[in-house]
Amino acid sequence: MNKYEKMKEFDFDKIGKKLPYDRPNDFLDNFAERSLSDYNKHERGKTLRRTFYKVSAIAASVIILITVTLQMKNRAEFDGYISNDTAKLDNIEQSTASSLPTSSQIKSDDDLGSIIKEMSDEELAVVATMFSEELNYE
Amino acid sequence: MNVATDEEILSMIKQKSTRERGLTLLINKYKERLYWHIRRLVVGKEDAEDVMQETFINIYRFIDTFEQESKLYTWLYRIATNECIKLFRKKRLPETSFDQVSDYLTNKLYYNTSEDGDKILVKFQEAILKLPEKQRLVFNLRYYDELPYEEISKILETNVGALKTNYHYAVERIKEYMLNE
Repeated sequence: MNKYEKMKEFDFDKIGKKLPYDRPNDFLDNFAERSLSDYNKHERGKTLRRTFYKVSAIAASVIILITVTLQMKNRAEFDGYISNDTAKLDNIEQSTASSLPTSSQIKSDDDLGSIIKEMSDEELAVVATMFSEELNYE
Repeated sequence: MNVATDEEILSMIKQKSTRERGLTLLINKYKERLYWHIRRLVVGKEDAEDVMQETFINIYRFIDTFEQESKLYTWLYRIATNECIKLFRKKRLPETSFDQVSDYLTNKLYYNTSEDGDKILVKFQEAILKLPEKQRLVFNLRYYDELPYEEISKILETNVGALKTNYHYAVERIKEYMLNE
């Protein structure tokens, strides 16, 4: 019989469907329970990790928000102090200016001395500023 | 023992209260078929177990997306086959030719064969492993799983004509190999 005839005669049914491997009993028995259990554990871990990342992101956002808010508040308070101080000085200047005696009222050095004695430190500071400004003009 | 139909299994999986039971029935119904399909392709016992686990993880993840455009077993076979192909890609280095992959699998064959394994069966497997990848896939699905070409076409995403050609060539090459002394 030549090769062509042999090939024609070859019968796959004589080989069949059997394989030269052993069945892995340990692996296939209980595969369903084991496989599902492993999958559920893996999914729970994934869910926990996702929750952790979400909570971390929210916490980080809150911290940033609080930090920014506090910084803005501090800035506003600082600005407020400056404006308050300026307003105080303005008040002192006005009351000092209005309470300053006129030149006709200052008749002698003694009069000036007693006026100065009655002035507060803040009023004196304002007067000193006013005089130094006058001197600069001269 | 009554085996649940695919429709019954899918219906159980869709409901939260019976989902786990449905998945268990699905696994038990198809695990043997899928295991041996994978084993024939990857040969090695450890590789087959790894691929089997990956296959079922994908099945659990994507079962809700199965739209019943094909039969359930077609869909399952497709996932299993893709996982086998992924394994081949992983094992295959860029400079590795197909022949070297074939040699790798043939070595695995001798390592994994039981001591009282029939020599003819071993030689037959060797003949299949020497085939190009596409021919090997088609031959296994047609010869061992006895799937119709239309279903194989959905698994391998190849038209029926090409599949028949591949199967014909596979048969001729196997016969030639078996008849060589």
